[in-house]
Amino acid sequence: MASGAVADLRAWPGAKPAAWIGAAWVAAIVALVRFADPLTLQRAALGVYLLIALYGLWLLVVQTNQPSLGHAGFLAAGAYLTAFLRLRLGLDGVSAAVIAMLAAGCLGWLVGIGSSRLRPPFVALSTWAFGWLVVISIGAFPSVSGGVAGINLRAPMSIRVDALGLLLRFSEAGHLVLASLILALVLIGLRSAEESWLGRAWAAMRSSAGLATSLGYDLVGMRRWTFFVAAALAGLSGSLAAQLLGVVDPTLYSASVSLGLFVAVMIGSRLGFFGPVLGLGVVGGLPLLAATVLPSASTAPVRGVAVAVLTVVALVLSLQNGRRPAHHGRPRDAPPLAALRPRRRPVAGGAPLLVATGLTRRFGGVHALASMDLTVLESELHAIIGPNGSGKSTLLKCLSGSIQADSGRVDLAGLSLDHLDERWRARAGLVRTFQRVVVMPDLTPSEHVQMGLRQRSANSGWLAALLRTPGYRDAALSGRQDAQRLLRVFGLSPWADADPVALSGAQQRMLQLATAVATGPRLLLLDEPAAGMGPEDVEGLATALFRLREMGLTIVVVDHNIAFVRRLADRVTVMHEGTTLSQGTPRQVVADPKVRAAYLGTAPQVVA
Amino acid sequence: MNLSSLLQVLLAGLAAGAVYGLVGIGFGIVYRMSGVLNFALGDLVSLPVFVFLFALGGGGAVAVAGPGPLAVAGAAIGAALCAVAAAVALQRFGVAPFLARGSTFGWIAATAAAGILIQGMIALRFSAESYSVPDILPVERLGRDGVIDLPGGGVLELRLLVVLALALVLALAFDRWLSRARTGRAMRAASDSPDAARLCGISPERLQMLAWGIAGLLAAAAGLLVAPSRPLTLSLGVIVGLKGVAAAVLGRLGSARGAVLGGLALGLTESIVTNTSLPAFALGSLQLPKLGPASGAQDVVGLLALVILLAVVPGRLGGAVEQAD
Repeated sequence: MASGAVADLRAWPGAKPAAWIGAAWVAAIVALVRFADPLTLQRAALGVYLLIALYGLWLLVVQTNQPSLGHAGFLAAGAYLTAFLRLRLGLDGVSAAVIAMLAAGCLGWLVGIGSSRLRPPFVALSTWAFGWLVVISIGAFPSVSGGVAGINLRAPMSIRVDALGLLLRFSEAGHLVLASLILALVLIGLRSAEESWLGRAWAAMRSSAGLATSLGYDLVGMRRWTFFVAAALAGLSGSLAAQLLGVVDPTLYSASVSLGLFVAVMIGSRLGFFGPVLGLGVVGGLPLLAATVLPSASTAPVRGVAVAVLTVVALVLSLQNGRRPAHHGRPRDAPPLAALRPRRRPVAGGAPLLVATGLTRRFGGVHALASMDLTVLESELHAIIGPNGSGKSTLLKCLSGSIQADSGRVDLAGLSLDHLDERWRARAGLVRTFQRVVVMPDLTPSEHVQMGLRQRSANSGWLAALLRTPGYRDAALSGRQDAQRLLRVFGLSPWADADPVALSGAQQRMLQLATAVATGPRLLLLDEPAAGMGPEDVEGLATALFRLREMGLTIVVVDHNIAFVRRLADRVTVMHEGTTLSQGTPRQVVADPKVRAAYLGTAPQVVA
Repeated sequence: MNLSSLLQVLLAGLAAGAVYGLVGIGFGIVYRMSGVLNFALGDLVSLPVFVFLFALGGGGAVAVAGPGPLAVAGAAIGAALCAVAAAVALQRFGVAPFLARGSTFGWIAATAAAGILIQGMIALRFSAESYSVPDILPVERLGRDGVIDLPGGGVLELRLLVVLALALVLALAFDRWLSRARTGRAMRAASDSPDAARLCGISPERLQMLAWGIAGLLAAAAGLLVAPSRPLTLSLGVIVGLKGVAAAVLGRLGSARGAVLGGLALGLTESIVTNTSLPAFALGSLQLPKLGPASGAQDVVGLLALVILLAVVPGRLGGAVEQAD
């Protein structure tokens, strides 16, 4: 455990290459400032400003799976607001830029509210409409927006330093330096965020809504915040770029620009962190190339066609949904199992942990649950079985919060869960798994399990990650160790850093279980965990569940497989037609004539 | 405002709304068949109009009263065929490959890019700001130059009535076809369950192309009906397309009837809002502009409606909200 220095830059994993890149960049800027003409400097600064906006969009599209097709609208918002602040209210350039950034962020927050519950195609639709709304508003209110001609900002950007009695004006070189500084901050910030719990949250947002919520993440809130950040970056970029150009030009915020930004992000999406740089290079470069090849054509449609052609090319090249695949490591040799200290099995039959009383749920005329009661004791492995249609899935969903019961109560360790939605129940300690396992191709199993860790403590927060405090490094190390331990319990250690798509179906299900356990739940609800598994895998699953129970976890398993349940469970509840048919130890329940009648039917009465 | 201008406002709204409904039907059927939101629909509305202009005048301005009825009819048919071909091509080459690979971003970007590609190609040929489009409906023959005098002063534009009637007839015909005709019912079957449909000898792939073709046809009809009443710009199609999407969303992306009703409601609201002048506010040196007729502000209403609708009632749309599992 390191101690001492508060911020140790050498601890950054990417420190060496970053230092080289930084040095090269500084050298490039110095060379440009010294030797280049103002037009080239302006182009370079504009490119860097666009990169800032592009990284915001990268956060939205690649990291959190929200395709924003109207991003130029935020650039426009920043630019037009800056014009208003500078020309009508007389603010200086830098203050105007900061205010414009925050305002654009708020606008992004609003757009995010509108799309936070939508699937990606509809997010695309909503943001596409937003982008067009901005374009049309610019044209529809020419007295405010200057219409097609735009707004002339007259004076270049300046900042007033009253303490020194200075008025600093930004030349093109000044803009280039400012842009580079801002971009550097943005890159460092995003990288640190990726390494902190935020990166895990983004991974959860990319996975599926159900998984993220079941692990306790606030999906809707996080989506709005990422929209805020992305829009703020775009607004800042638009504001500064407009001040660089000296004019707010409406053609810079058209729908094809929005699409061009989207394409740029997608082109680089498989390259990881520096993808957007390449994307901008391609998207920015091609129209210039086309303009030189076809000098007589007017630029706007050429640019449009070029963007469209580029999109097709980009799509052919990157037919996946974006993001690089997980790191392909060689499967390491499984580390030796720590000898299990023989532990006294905790007495199953402790205090009641989960108590559900009188749960009722109807779907139309069908009573899926009819006054269902369930009591699960602490540290026990409780199985719920029943024929198809007996209401097991509905019960599971009512317990976890996916659906609301019509009536009844659910208490967890005395705390009423009735008013808590799925996410808060997960945070209270009731975590469920799903029948369908979806694997995220861009996370290694170790990273996948760590997604369940959420934010363990303040030490894994964004700022701590930024500064690489010792507390952060300890938390990161313990997080990795916890993940490793869980992978070992589920028999996945050799594949900790492998490509998750290579895992078998049973192993993927174990991975899902490990992720759920990583949240540190009090009660685990498993929905048919053994479905589709062969006998060996069922063995592995049973062993894992035994180990979890020994660690003190309470587990509720819903399953069909009576043999599996019989050797695993401490107590069994049999459901039939929405209510409890029988309850007790496996032996008792199997011998119960009512259970036999429900599963196997009764002998036909012989009519004499 | 007096009765006759109120009548005009309402009629204009209904006519525009019916056209939006047509576009919305196309959007809805594509969504139900392939699960795809067609971002190029608006450009499929403007493409046939420009093809129509091209067939009549070859890239320059066309005298509104110039071409004879046969030329007009021929050009209109050619334009509609172009739209259908473009739609089907988009489905085969721009959407199906990505659907097969499960790449959502792929078809999103492909359809959006196709729209911009169409716009770019049109712009290469048609470089003026706006064009006026000859009417495919010979409305001037009716009444007095296409208008009816109302008792008590004021006039009623017959064109609006004809457009409204035609659009409703088309929508009704399509709705009937979907529920009665063999192919229509096959299409509904395939959209509900492609695998089961295959077992019945229905080819979902063929029907997908048919759905997109129908969307193109309806878009062409919408474009040719609406284009003569406004100066034609490049972005007109996109705007009409987005409003058509709003109409479909209002209709819960479900039936054709929903899209038409949604479109009518949208058109009415739009027309009423933009024909009621707000007094000009003065905030210091800032003046809010009047929302009057013949301004782009009319389009703001429709787009705002779409964004707000998606935000407020996503759960009532088929499949817009993510499912837990």
